[in-house]
Amino acid sequence: MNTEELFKQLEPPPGGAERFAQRLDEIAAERPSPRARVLAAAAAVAAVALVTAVLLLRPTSDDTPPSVADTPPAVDIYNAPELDRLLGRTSQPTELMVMVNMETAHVTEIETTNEKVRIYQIN
Amino acid sequence: MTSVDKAQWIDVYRRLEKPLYNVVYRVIWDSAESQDVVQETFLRCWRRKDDIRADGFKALLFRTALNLASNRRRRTRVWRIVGVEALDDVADESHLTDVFSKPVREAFDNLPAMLRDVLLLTELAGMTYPEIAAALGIAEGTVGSRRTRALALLRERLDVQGVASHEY
Repeated sequence: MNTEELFKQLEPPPGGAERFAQRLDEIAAERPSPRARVLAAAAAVAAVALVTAVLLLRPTSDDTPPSVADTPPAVDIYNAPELDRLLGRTSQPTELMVMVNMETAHVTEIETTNEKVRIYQIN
Repeated sequence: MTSVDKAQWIDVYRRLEKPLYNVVYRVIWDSAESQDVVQETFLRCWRRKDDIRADGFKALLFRTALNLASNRRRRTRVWRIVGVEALDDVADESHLTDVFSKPVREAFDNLPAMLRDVLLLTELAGMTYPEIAAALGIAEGTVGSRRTRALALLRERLDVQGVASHEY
């Protein structure tokens, strides 16, 4: 046996092209592979589990701590005058009232040259 | 390869079936299995046809065919080792063709894969050295040197087995 014989071209079994055409048609019509179906099912189960976990672990109104539940709505906090400077708002002037020995004292404002400074005299 | 339709693909199959079959056959030594591997090669490439560059198509086909053939042969050997003879009739060698004698098959089988693949592609695939280099991911110069080594090893092993060495 020489090299020509070792590498002589053999004829493939007949009908290969026809069989190949059939397999090509089968591919076009094939359903997803078993592996793809298993992966899709696993993804669906994981999604259901995730939704269930979120629903079960979500805090309900009964679980809310009392201190939080009793807190006034946020809008009231926002309107508190203590936050005027923090929020850059102009404070609304209010009437000054001073109590001395459980009685309302008379207060007189003294003029100053600095508009940010107010001095009061209690009579 | 974006506009290849089914008829064109079958035509390509007709033109390349024979060289691919001959390459694969010398890996698994079974005509029906070899044809199946060739078809599987084309089916795999069909699924990826939109991503394949025309200039690398032939290299991809032969590379895929060699990989599939090697996997098929490995699987067959595993079945033999575990003794599952009923599956695929793998333990029964009677279906293997008598085109080549057992010593010849063993001489091919005992070549290192990196040498065997080069030899099969140079002698049977009708590919140029640059095409083979691209298919196997090696340098062009390496193709020639591996072919020389593969032929020498093949010759040596056939000599040892007394298969008409004087005819080389």
